[in-house]
Amino acid sequence: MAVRTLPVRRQRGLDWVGQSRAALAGARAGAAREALRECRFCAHDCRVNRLGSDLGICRAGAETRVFSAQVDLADELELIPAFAVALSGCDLRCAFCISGGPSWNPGLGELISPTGLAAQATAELARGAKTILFEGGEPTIHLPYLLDVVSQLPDSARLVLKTNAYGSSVSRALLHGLFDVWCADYKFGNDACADRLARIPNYTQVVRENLVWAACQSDLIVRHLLMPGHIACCWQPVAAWLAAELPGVKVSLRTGFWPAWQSRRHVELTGPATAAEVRRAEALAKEFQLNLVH
Amino acid sequence: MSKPLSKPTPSVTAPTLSEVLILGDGRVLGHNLTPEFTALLAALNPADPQFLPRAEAVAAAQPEPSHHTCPP
Repeated sequence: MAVRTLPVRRQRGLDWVGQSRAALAGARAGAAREALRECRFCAHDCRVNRLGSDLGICRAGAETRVFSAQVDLADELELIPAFAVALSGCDLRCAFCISGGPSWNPGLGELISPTGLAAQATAELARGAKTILFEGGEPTIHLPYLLDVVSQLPDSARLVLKTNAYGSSVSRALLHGLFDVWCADYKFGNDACADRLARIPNYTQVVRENLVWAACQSDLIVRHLLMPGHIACCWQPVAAWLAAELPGVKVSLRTGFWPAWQSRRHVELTGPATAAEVRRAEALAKEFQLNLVH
Repeated sequence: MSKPLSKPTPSVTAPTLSEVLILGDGRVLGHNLTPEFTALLAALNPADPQFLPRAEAVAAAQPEPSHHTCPP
């Protein structure tokens, strides 16, 4: 099978006519804040004024709260130990969200200044953290804060963006070239499951567009959370598409589904994936010759 | 009328809750894998392929202690 070579990614450190990553992020933070006046950071395209009192689907306003900031070992082996920063609030409504309340409610968590958070993250790098990882909720709904933090991190730091890949072209332009690794979810293999389980419209087109883009400008890891009862409708189409369109891309098949938050609203999500389902999923990955990472 | 107290939010600097789910078929799932929790899970079941490499990653990532020679 012919393997399509993904384009060469940018050099680390200096880019855009000699600008450092920190300077680039700093230059974009102001534009990101202005963009809150008519928010189009994600594919919902709410266009609400988040600097005023309007709230869109994510319910996030102008401020960003952090609900967790700690060294974490749950992510892919090449990323850990990660200093993982979790920002409150999300533009999706996945019933099975492992983070639950803080993911859905941008009002939970602490206000930490970008300078303070950057200092804490830098200190953890000195203590042995391999990466600084931004997650949520969904970090891309907080672009002004995110860019402000990145502008105060050393250019040598390896930055990871863990995202639901539901961002828009506006957020892509602001994030372009800033993160060494995109750890992007491809959760659902069809729009019907995405709508039923997470209230996401037009999921497939949006996510595929973002994954193809991310593959061309960073080190991409595509994550799929194996959900019980969703191998044929979700994992199989995801695996098939990755094999066809992003051959060789790193794929992280997460087999430890944990029935959490509101997963019991859906009868098939009241328990973990069975051992047989995990074996079937892994067999499919092998059949599609996916580049599985752990 | 006094203003009602707002609900306190958990501090990000406070110890967080880690959870373990042990399934009937022997699989172990862990949530919020801090270094300490991961080391515990790896110690409880060294044969589990998901926790030991993660516990080892912490040890491998520790910065080298600085070496200096004491003056005579």
